Amino acid sequence: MTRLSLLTALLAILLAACASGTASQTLPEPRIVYGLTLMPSGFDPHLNASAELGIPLRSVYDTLVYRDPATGAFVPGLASQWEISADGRTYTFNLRTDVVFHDGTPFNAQAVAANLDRITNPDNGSQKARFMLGPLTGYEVLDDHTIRLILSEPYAPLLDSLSQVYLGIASPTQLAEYDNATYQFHQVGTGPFRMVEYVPGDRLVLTRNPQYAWGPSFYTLPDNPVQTIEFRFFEDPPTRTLALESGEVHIVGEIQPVDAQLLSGNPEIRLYPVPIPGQPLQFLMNTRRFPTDSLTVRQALILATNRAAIAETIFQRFSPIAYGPLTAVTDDYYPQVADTYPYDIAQAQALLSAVGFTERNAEGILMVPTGLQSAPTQVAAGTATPTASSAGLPLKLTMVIPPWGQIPQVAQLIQSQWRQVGIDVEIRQVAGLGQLREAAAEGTYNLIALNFFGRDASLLEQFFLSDGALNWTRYSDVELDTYLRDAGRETDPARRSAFYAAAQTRIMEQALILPIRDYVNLNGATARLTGVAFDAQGWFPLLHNFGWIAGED
Amino acid sequence: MWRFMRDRLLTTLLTVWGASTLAFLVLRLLPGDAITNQMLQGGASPATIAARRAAMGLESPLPIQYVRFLLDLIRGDLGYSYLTQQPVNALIGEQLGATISLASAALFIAIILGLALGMIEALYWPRWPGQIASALNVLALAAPIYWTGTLAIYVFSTQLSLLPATGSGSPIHLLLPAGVLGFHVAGSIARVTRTSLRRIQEAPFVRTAYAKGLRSSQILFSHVLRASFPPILSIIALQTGFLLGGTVITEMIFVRQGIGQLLQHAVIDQDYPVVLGVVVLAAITYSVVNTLADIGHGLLDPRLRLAEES
Repeated sequence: MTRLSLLTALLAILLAACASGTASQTLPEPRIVYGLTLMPSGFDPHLNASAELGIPLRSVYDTLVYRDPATGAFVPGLASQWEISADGRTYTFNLRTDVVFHDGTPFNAQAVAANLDRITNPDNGSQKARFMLGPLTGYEVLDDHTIRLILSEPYAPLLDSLSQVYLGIASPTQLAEYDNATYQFHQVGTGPFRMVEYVPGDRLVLTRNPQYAWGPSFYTLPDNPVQTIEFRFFEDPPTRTLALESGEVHIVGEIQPVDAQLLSGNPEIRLYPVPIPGQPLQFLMNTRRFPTDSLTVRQALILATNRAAIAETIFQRFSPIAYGPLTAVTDDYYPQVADTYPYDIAQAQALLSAVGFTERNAEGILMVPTGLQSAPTQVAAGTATPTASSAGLPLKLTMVIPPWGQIPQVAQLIQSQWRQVGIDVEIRQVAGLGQLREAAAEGTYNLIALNFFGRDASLLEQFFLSDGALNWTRYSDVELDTYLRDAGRETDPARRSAFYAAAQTRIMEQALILPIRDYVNLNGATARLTGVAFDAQGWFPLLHNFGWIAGED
Repeated sequence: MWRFMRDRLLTTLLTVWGASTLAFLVLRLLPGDAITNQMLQGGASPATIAARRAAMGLESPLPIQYVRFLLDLIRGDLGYSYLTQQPVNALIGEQLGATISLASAALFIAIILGLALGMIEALYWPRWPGQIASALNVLALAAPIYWTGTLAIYVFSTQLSLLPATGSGSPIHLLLPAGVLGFHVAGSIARVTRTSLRRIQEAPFVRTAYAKGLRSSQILFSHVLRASFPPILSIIALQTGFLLGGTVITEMIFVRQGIGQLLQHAVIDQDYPVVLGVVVLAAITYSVVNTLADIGHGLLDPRLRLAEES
């Protein structure tokens, strides 16, 4: 009796647990499954920093302005027009009068104010949105449909910030009703899709907002629009491709390049490679540790790296080679950096012998000569790491890498390429951003891989200002600081571009980074999905434009 | 019996205290945390980050933080996630159901499969059914879950379209992930079953049973199996640890929600209150399962009961 009842109880628990999962409502068709590749820890765009949250939520919220994905130009969103004062310190927005939130709350200047209050309140601990507002000090509600934002100093990236989902405008009614921990489950915006439910770790469901009639110029309603989208978390890359082939997911990003190559022969699947603006896959070189403290050595390392081979073998030619600190689709990208360091082993070797690396050991690794003087370093940035005296030992570099973005494979390929010029590399892989940051703080690396995304070139500040929070090159230079600071305050686009051109040139002249490839998000979708397009930041789909070709399933 | 229960309860409490204290110390002594990482990515200055950490009580001396943590733990309060500011109890509660169904289904499959493979190996070796069972057993023990998992999706879902690979919602969705996880858990169970069966088969009382003229099926089911069960029960209980670890990878490959996913992300994001919460939960589960196994031992093996009573 005991054995049987134990078995029955087990089965009962099992069935009960399974049944609890089937809460899916009868939502309008056509319905698709969208595969997310990461599970964000929090889904609140005002408070959390994940890029993945924007994939669904970009279409739940509207923003005051939008950026046209084709031209990058700012176009009206919830604001029908705006005016920037001559000193660049006040922005006045005239708001649309015909917009309502999904819960029926009318959209107006007070709603924008409530959102700004929430984002800027330090108690709410915003991880990203707050910092995107830069030197914002306050706002003035001029009338029901006019609001003025006030800055303490000019801040050129503001419009780009306001065009992003992190500054999407939420219903003040909902914000008042829920607290910081619970709002993410009850998000209400004015966008083309409404949020139906969010079950952490399992799914997030959106359904079309039938009232939506205030989209930006590049939102177009397709024939047979997709009505319901279920987002699920496909964190394991092989599962992504297999699920796409079996039809369990209809669109998914970050397909592995090798899988994409295989899928390109499948007529039922279409590939959408999207270049992502921001920084390329790059290694930051530690300018305060031997031997990368020497400019000549840093230059030799770039020259000794065969980026074409990396792009070909690891990225299957889906990614362009990167030459500078910004990808080619980023605002103010300076194309002239492309000529600085071609692949040239002979030149790399010549540079290395010029600084004294001439002897090789039995394995062909260069020996660190005795009596070698470290290159004089610039003004100290943070804690100085003493340049290790490894005279008489084989030349060995330490490379710290995260596990994502095929960086481990890239690191291995570089390791074998540099072996040819006589440099040994020790690769240290860490688990995530936190662990990477700890390694950076320790400072015992020569190269460390990290890059951020964003359309506005101001993202260089964190990495290259002397006091930048991510100045992992530990480089400190008044000239570079001036270019970056001036660019951040400059509101004239042409002059701003010139500052960034100078900054990019300086970064490459000093060989602060080893750029590898421009990031390309390889999206795959069933051929029955139409209108697949992405926004100006590259990551976020324009779900409004998604349509479905009907046919038998 | 009461003394037994009291001892077990004490051991359980000690285990939970030890595991959570160790986890607390290790996590606090590691540099970095979720708040710092996220705010840094957002562009916050070090001063802003320090203020935020102070507001969350993370700048207080370690002993004070520890006492606070213990007092909360006694009240059953596991604190709040650094990242989402939700109570850890709620985060675990949301994911518990999915993991219980995966783990119990996998365990169910593992027990059936493990016993079957072990018995076939013990009884049919070296004929072909024994060879096949042995090969499967080695595969279950040696192959990594992500390999068999991906293979299972490719064969049963992409190629044969028999079973859905991903998602939850119906028992059908549970079959592939529970099957794969159960297969790997079955490996150790099969090995212990085989060894234990072989050992008992050679015992004098079995020879006596044969000599008495009992049918071999009768001997197997009512004498040998019962006598070989205690070590099998122990290995099943010990496999809970492996099972909990296996859910992490299984949940990821098969796109399922659950505690494993929660833990994996909390570790990578350095969301320490969530990590601690899951450690406490795992310690409790492990202790409870092993207590049940000990009780089971007593029921199965009269010698143990007699020893205690005397």
